[in-house]
Amino acid sequence: MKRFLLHIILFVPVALVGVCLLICLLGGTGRLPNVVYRLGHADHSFTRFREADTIGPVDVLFLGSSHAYRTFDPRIYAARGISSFNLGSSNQTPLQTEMLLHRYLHRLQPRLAVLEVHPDVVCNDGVESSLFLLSHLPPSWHEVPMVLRERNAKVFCTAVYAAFRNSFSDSYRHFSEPVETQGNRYVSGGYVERDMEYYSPRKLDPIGVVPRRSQMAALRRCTRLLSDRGIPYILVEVPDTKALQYVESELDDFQDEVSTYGKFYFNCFPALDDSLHYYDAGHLNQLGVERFNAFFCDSILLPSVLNLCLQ
Amino acid sequence: MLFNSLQFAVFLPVVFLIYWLLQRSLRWQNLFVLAASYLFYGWWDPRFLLLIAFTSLCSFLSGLGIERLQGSARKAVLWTNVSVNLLILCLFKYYDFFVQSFADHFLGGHADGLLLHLVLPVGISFYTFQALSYSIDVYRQSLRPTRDVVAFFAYVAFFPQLVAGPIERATSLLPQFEQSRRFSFDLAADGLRQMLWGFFKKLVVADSCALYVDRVYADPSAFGGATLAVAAILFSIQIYGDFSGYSDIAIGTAKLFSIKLRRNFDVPYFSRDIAEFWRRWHISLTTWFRDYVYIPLGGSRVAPWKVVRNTFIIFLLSGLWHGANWTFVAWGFFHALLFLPLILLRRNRRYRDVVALDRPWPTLAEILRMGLTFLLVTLGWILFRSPSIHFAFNYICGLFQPGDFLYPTLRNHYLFLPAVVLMFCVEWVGRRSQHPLERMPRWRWIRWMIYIVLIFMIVAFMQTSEMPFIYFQF
Repeated sequence: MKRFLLHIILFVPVALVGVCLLICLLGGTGRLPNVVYRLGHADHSFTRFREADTIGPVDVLFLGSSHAYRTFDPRIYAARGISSFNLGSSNQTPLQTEMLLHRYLHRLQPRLAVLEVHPDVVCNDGVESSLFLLSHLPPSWHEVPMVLRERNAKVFCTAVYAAFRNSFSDSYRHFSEPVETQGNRYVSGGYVERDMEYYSPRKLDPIGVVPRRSQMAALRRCTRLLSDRGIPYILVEVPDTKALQYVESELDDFQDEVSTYGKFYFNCFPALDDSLHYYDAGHLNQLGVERFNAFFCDSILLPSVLNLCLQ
Repeated sequence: MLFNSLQFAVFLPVVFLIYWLLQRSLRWQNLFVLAASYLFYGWWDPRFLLLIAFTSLCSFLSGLGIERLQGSARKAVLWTNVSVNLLILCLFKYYDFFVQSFADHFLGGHADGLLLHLVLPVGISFYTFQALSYSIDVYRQSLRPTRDVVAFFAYVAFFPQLVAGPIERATSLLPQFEQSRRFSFDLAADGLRQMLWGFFKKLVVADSCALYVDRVYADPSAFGGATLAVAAILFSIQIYGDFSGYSDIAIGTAKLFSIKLRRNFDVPYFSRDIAEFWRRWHISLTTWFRDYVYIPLGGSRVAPWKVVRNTFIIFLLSGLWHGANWTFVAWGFFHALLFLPLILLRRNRRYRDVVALDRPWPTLAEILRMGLTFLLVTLGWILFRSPSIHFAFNYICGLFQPGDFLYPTLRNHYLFLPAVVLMFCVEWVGRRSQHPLERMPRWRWIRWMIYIVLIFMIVAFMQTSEMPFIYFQF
């Protein structure tokens, strides 16, 4: 028995190293379904994180999914004398937000954090977003807890390959992303502005809201982390079109639960028109962005900042 | 709990360690196996633990009753136990099917008030047959009934083979629970190797084939003949990888506990005719039907018309055992038609040994026979996989649509094909062993490299969503 256990203890690390080595060697062939490494995307994650690695402290830090990086426009806040940075990324769930907070809080030292919490993302397993971030971020130990929490072969294989590739490959170091791709223009500060389009409303089936326990736990850890660092935060659910309906009782339960995590703003924004202020069912166009941000900044953010100054 | 889940990855080492810590007390060890097996089974739905406990209790008591009584009373106890077990099986598995079929033919399809809509307990067909074999063997006096209730309950519920076999016989498994077990390094190491091979077949081969197959079977009318043919072949590979993979994991897991389970698959796709295929596919079920149904009916040593009758009974029952659907019955009927000429001409035992037993390669004639058998089996799997006879008929028609037999579509799904080729190559090389990784090179570094490559393939190719084993539904 002792011999058997000894063999197992010896074999496990050897196998781990061997498997990682094979992933690094063969990951670039494009023949391994569980290595999903792609550089460059319409969400401009690569450019955003490169910029985040170079800037200093900001007043406000935004985090969240596409609803965050396509809604919170730093230019509008800069015009009001508030410096900000948007760390949103495609499909970003609280699991990834937690990793980004660990990674960037020290550098960005925000005076206020805005966490965008959308019913869609807390129902998501976060795998797609993890793959995105792993491909675009220079490797660090901050990703390890996220990879372990995902418990997914795709995330593990991509993490191993991305760590190898982003550490040693020139193609990553010298990669540059065009400022504008497929009608999406990167704006300094992490925001992505989309070419002006209008949404044609149509009837959609109600969507269920069944948050994953792992995501809600990650959201709780994010808020704790901010509290521990003494950084005030607010939680925001960015408005959707009226066409996008959720199962009402489930949405209420979700909003009630998130409200226990901190100050949660939802359903308190000025009326936005489906066909005028959106480009699809869930995202604001630039007209909507300006209207929403003006309200958000003047009615929610500035009073919060003022409150902080008075404290 | 699925073998391919994280829960099992935690469950198995914990159970393994505690089991061997209890080595000094057989009773405690068996009690622990029983508790672990019930935990494993109850993970799906704890309500059905009552059912498995009831089945076990009935069979245990019937064994004692059969031993104590004489003459017709013995027979009555046996038949009572068989009836109770089959009644439970029929109620959960077949009641709705037969009522709906009756209503479709005689009541214009209106059976809503009569249907029970019961949830099918996982593995009910497997453990019911296992429990039945005990009381029949006791009745035949080929086994002395056990008085150790814990050992018997552990025999029925032993977790590695509880939900999808192999269907064990009390004559081989029960004595293993009645005597103390000693840890064997070689057996445990061999068990891990067999598990590794099983995981490779399930996670890399079967689950990858499933993506292609599921897409085509979702709407066969959208695809050309070549794509349908590829999907049919891939389903043959999927079901083999899935079920034999499960069996390998089950047998390998049992070896970790120094318990030997019977072999369930013996390279069935290297068979040269249908009779050989049925000696190599799902061996534990085939031999169960042979020993408890076919031979009592007279087997093949009766008048030709009775041989025909017995063959059809066996294959139709075997089809129905798989599921409550006419497609399974049709699948059994199809195989009976293929098997009948061989048994009537007494050529059903022509190929007893594995192909090319003392040669590295098969002859051309053997290759052709294996290819033909594989194609016939694949045709049968279309019936097995289809939701209805009508669907299967359309699928088979679609294979031969004139002018549509083009290059198969869905080409971007072919990344896993090297793994399929690897599986068949390794199985060919290891066809004389209990499992392909049984005989490994002497040098440890080569052995370890083989294991690492297999683990790498599992990690790099496995589907990231948990895909249940096909035979769990039976």
